[in-house]
Amino acid sequence: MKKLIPFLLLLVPVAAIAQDARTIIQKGRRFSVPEIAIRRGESLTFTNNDEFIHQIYVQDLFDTEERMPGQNITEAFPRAGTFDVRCHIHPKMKLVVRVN
Amino acid sequence: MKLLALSAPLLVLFALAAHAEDALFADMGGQAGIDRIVDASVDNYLADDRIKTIFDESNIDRLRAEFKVQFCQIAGGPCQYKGHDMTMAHKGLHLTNADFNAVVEDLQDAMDKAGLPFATQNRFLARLAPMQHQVVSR
Repeated sequence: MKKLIPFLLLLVPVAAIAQDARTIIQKGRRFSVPEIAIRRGESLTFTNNDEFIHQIYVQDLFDTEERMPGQNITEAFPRAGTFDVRCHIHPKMKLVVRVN
Repeated sequence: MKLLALSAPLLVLFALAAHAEDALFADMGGQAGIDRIVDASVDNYLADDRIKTIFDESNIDRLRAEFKVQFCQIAGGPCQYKGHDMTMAHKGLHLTNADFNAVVEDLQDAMDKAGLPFATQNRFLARLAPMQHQVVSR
């Protein structure tokens, strides 16, 4: 048990980091969820698990380079509000991000 | 002096090659002609029951813009296509030879409408042909 405690303590910060940068999957030319709520200043990591190239943009906030399958993009949302995340290449892709 | 004499034929060959490239771009009507051909082609693709669903998820304005630059470069015009290679650009679409042939037919129709002579059409299509194995994946 004594040996297990340091190991369990090690897992705590890892879990905290995982919560800070939430992951959205891009697959089948769709986002994995249509909507997500986060706190101001939090980031979202977008993982391209698709066969297609993707990028993401939010009007007046960010407009990323294209990412190949298997690559990630992490973007912060520093302002409160409701934002539509879209892809220039696939205009039907839409994720609504509510930043509280 | 000998070097100059030896290099002169090479210079002529380079000039001829450059002229041939420029000639196709000019023969297709320059950028304005290529723009018309691309617009008509894309209109054909979107109306073609055989292939129109391929474009369901695409940004058509972006596609037109990329085709115009790429066609310009292929025709030897003063453009530089900076998009992805054809294999990556078509990955996930799982296109067949029948799809590729339909795209070529629609392009030929657009070139007919633009009044391009058959020989000019063939010169351009000959430069597209090597892309078939990169575009078709099943």
